Amino acid sequence: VIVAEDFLNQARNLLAAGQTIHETGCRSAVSRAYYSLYHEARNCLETRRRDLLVLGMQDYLLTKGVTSFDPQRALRDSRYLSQWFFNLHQVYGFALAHANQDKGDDYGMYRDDRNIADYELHQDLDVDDSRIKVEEIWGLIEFVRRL
Amino acid sequence: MPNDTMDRLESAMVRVKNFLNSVSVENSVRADLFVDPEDTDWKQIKIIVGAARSLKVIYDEFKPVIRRLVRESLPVEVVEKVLINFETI
Repeated sequence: VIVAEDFLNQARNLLAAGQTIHETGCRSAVSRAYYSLYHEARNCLETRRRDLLVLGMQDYLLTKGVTSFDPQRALRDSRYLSQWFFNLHQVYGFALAHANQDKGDDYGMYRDDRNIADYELHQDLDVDDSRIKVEEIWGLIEFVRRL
Repeated sequence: MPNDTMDRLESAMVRVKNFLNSVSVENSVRADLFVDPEDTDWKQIKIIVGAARSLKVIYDEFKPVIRRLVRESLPVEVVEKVLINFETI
């Protein structure tokens, strides 16, 4: 069994080769670091901070025009949740924003970085920037752990 | 996007550009629509700020100011979520 931090360690290992690293390594590192954050947020929100999770779900559904979601009922009744569909990547960013707006915004930014790393092949990613992004993501992971 | 929101977005971008110019940083500021490639139903305003500094400096020194400037022009009651991303140029 692996834990969320294993992905972060893999990201650091990918970048350890320094300037000789191929761009695919930089892209993989940013992507792995984001997924480390994703799983850390998931652990936190699904277990310790379900109050934030349901608020994030409510925000997500509001952006879809759904106004009938009741976060208090969602906290009490797990079957109630089964009727809704969520993009958890978006939900987690919204949920963290209820704890700290800037941290929630950061989550969205790193999610975008991961999408760029995996989907936008025309954008260059260099080693130094990738290393900074990985360590910034680690900083957000530490914040999530303190929630 | 409503005209008023477009005007506010334009204002946000001008303010960010003016800020970076005021600290003598070569920059590029552009807006785009963020479409999540894994959820194409999801669209969000995205502002991409490029600056001729290391990413660490951009994050540490510019990010908080730029976020405040964007939020002053695009308050949460107008646009709940604005994605701001940073790049080196």
